[in-house]
Amino acid sequence: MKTVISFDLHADMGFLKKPDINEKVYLTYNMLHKPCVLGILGAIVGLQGFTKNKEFPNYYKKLKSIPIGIKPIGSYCDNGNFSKIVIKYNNATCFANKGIEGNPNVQAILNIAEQTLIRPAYRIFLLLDLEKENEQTLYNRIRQQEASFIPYLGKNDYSAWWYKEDVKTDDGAILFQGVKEYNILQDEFKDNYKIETVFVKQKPVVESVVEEGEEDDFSDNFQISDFGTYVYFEKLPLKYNEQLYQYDYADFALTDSKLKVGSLPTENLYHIQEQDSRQRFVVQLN
Amino acid sequence: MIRELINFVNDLEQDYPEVFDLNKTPSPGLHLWIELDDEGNWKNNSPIEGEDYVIYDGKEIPSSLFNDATNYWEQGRTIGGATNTNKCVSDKKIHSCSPFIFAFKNENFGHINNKIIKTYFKIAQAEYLEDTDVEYIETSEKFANTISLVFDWLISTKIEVKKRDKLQLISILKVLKTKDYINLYIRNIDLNYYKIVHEKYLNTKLFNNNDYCIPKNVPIDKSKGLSNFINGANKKKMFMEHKTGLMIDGINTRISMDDAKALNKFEILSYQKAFPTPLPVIIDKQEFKFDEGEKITSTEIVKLFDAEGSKRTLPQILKSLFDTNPQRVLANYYLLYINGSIVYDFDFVSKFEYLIKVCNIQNLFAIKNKEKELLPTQRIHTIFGFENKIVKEIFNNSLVRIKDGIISYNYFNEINPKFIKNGGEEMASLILRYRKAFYDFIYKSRKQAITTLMFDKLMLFSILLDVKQDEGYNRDIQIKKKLNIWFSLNQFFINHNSINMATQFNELMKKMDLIANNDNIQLDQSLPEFLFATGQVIYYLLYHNKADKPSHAMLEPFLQKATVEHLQNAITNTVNVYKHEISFGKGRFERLCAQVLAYSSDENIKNSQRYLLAGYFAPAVIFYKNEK
Repeated sequence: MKTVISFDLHADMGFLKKPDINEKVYLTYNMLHKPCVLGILGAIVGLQGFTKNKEFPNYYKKLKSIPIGIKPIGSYCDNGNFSKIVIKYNNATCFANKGIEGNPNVQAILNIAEQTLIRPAYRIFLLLDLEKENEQTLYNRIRQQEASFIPYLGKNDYSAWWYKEDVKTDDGAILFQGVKEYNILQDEFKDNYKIETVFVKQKPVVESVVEEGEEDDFSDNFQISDFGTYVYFEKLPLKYNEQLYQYDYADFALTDSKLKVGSLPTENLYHIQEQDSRQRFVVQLN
Repeated sequence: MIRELINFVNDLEQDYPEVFDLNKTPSPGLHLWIELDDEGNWKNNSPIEGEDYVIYDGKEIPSSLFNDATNYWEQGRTIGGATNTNKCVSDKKIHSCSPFIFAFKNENFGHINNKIIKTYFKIAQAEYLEDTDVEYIETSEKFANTISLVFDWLISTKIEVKKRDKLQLISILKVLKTKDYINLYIRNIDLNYYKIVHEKYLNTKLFNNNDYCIPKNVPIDKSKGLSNFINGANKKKMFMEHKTGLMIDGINTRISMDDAKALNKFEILSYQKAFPTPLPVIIDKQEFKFDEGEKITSTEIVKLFDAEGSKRTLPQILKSLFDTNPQRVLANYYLLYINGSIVYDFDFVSKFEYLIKVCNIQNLFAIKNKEKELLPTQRIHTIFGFENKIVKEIFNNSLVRIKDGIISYNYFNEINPKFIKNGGEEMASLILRYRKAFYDFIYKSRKQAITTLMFDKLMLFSILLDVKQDEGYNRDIQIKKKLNIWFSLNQFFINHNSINMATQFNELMKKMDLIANNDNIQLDQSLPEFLFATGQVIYYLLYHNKADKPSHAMLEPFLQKATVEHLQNAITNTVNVYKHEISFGKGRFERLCAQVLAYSSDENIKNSQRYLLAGYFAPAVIFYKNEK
């Protein structure tokens, strides 16, 4: 049996390292991405991580086929983007820097600068096949707020948490959703739709966004909020390249606008309905 | 990050190819063209200055040879100029990388022997010339054989140099500085062939280290390798290694040679200072839904950067674009702050907002100009107006500095407290704490970056710093300007309290006047009213201080008090000290002081210090004339 669940993962800080530069400063992705989520799921289930060069870790082999959707959330998220700050620190153990210029026998202090996300939070949607043992375990543990190893956002300094039940502010607004379960609705996506999660853009989003002034504006189905205010873009890792053992990237976008029918291939799109509130969403699970 | 920069360079090549020719200058030093005859003898032995050689001091070069020197030098330099000795062809002293060029630093002149020369040319010919290029190989060999003659010429030649207003004959080697280059080129080879050879060099040297290239059995330019752009193998620094995720040979990211070339072009342009800092890097120009004339592109920004011969700042460029058409849109870009090879920030911006909503600085604290007229309300319409007028003021001209009409910014570089005139180390610490938030607020239009709570803390600290350092009221105007900004902009930022402090200030002033004028009007049970009245009373008391250099710093002991009672005790003591100076009888002071001393509350007053400051620096109602 297949089911979609979601949980809100958040941390005080996060560092999702970009592997393309490593001199003077390390940069972070803004958005959580699938290879990183798989690592977090591996920690929850208790599967082994990276051990050897040129060998995919156990968690990746066992969980890579799980379709995953990611939505940035929280009050620190500005149109999909989180605040970042560069944190500089020293590793003064002298074991991290095996030599300084001109004198390779002298060990030195290592200066590190990392661009860090401030209060990152993401709603993660998972399409789980409960007939598979690992996915059944994952389903149970997420719902019970349990993990084998402590999940973290990029570095084990930045522990990540989620809640079973909704967390509300004093005035009743939902701060973080608890674990939710959804029914998958049959939909051929013949109407324009708004996507909750980040999605892979196959063509310029500008060609897909429904804009004010278009013919359908005056139909009863449209509301002012359908004409969005932003589009967020980021090139993100989608999976590992099995020849080069490095990330394979895709261009992702996130928008609060409606997209035109046929903008995206429908195979990764899911129309889901929350079991408790009956609210409906369209998500892309890659 | 590198993918966005690669797209950016590709767009520049397509839309603005001239940028690659801008700002190009040869390295300082000697540029000498050797011409060989058919037998391989040095034909232009005893070369003529201006025709066969030129000395570039980094400032001026004869225009006739400028392009030649630039073009030849460009086709012979190693990656990253001549500084990256890991990219040398053979010996690290030889910084050229072509079989037709021989370049080295003047300081190494005595260390280059025949063996080094022969090895260099042997490797360069083998690596960058085909076996079929017999003619070119021969010419290169003849060139190599001439080098010793050129060295003799360099040792023996003296040229006329103007020194102390006299022409003197000085050895050419002594005219050059130690770090200057001696560049020797061969004139018998066409420049186009230099370019072909240099392309071959680039194809093998652009990766950080070819040992990491895969697959191994293909030419380097067809493989994927370790990027050299702000990236290293860092075997000595384990935390700098590519430990994330999966790896082959300890490396988890490889790029193609085409990408490496694009990044190298970006690096060169960056070193040549062809971009403003920060630089908006548009993600994908296809994503613009706006008409051609309405959008602002990265290329347009780079074009305007050096349009009039002098480098412009990003605010200047954007101001010129938005002032001509406020409807223009700058959206969906990464803002890159890079200085040399150091990346300070790289972050997505969905839309830049140039115009800002109501941002009026009211003259609540009655600042007067030289003609003793009250300054009018300052109206600010753009985000850069905010930066130049408000941010400059808050951080005492040290984060945004305006000196002799030139604006400079210090959002990321080191801050030396020595150069902060007002505030020193404490102001430096304040800048370090808040400058990133202001950078995000201004350049990324990130409204959440500054909240009212942050703004309150910042303003309080900044003003207290001025109060503490005041001597002879020299910080009076500065403090009042900051108070005007604080009270006027309280609702400008993301708001956690809905108090309009400007309106509240006017109400408090009216109330103070009423109390001072009428026995029957009393203070409400409100801490702001009490503190404002206290501020007024303290000002009146300290006004009677007869010190040579009266100072607002005398307010500080009152600001230390945490409870109403302690504050009242301090006032009572001060009244005792100055009672002989105070002219009792008119009633205004007595009424206000009586109300202040009669007030009762258990609240902590530290959190409301702004009202005490406001009351102290506001026009003193006690000096108003009594109503009849």
